[in-house]
Amino acid sequence: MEKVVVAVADDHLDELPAVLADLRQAGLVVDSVQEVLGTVTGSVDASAFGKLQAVPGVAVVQRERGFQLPPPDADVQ
Amino acid sequence: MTNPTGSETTGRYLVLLEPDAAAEGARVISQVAGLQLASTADFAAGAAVAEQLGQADGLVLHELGVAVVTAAADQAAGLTRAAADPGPIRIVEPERVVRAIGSAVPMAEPAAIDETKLTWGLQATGADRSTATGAGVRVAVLDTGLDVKHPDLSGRTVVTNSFISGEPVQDGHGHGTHCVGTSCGLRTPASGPGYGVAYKADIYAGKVLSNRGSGADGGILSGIAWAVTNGCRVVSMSLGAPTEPGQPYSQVFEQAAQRAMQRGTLIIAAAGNESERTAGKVAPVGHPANCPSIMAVGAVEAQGQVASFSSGTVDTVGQVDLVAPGVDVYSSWPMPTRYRRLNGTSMATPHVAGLAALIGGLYPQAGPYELWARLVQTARRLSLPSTDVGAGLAQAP
Repeated sequence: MEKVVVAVADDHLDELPAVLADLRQAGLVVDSVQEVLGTVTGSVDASAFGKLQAVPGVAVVQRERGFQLPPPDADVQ
Repeated sequence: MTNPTGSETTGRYLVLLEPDAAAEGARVISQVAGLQLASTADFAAGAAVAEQLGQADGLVLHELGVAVVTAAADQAAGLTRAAADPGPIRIVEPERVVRAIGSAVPMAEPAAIDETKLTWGLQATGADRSTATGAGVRVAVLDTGLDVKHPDLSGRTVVTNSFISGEPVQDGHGHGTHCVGTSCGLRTPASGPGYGVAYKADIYAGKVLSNRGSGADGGILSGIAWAVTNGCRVVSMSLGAPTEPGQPYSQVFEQAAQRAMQRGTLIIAAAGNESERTAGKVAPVGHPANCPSIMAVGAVEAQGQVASFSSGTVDTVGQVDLVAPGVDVYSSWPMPTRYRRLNGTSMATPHVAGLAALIGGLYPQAGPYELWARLVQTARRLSLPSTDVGAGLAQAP
């Protein structure tokens, strides 16, 4: 499974529940939905990644990126 | 381009009129000074303004609400008296001679650093000279959380939330406590210099990085959504992931940032620490600060030079928008250490977030685009490449 972030298209923000249902149908296991931003996070089998992008109302699907701060004792943060 | 000179004037006067009072203003100028004015409102498009101006005593620039008049000393005195009274005339000033710009304005000599009372960052950004406090403005700091029992937070409005599974908001790293301190911390601690920019702002500390300093896109989006939902006008994100030259910005974060702005929230993020300028290497702005709708902040040190580590503008997008103090920055740290000095664009970013909150406090109706514009408008220009410092060193209102 791969962690992904999804942006819903402007013209589908009013139909978020329907887009979510279609995303789940396409294989997305939803972690969280940021309604005010029109974004969705979750995980999907790597082989189904392309299916998410094809869901109507999806603007973009990206693999989730990670962030790492230096340890607390580092001088540059 | 032209440049106003200090003292040389033309003998004419500029009269600033109250908004939407151009016609009434022309009447009053006639009454108090006996001047007959032409008005651009009467001109057909493309009419020769210079010719019209030559035939009348002056010209009302209708669209600007300004009249340019030729007046003798007694007439000018009459206009000045009228400006002091209620009515359509607001300001009268002599018209200045302007000339093409010659050489650049010399940079002021950097002053010696004295942190007895306030950090150098508060001084360099003019926060020490501003009357603004950020009171009533909600600032979200999305980071490693906050030492919620830090004594310097006593009496402050603090709202917290953790987006890290299994970890409370209490800061087990220190980074978040340092960033909250710079953006919103104390001005008059019992000992040591004051260090907080928007020292009366409401603090919204969202934990999107774990105690080990790690996080991911999903938690950060959740943190941004929390800040937007809670009416935070400013989000400070001292976090980023390195990018490669030519790598496109995240369209998901760009969409999210645009929607956050539509709902009243400005997102400010660290440009990144990936450069090694002493070795000639300038790294591109990291993710997500490289999104056009997220303000990217680089770091300068006290002598005004770009910090060696500060990421720069490498591509046609992903530019550095502003810089702020990011070297030897003194701020709060989890107890019992209490205070600590750190370097990084992570330290520069909360300076700008605090300054945005100061502006927000002065302009309660200002939306995120206006905050962005005012930050860029008022930034002190530096004699350094715009690719490194954007519009320059962010300043308090």
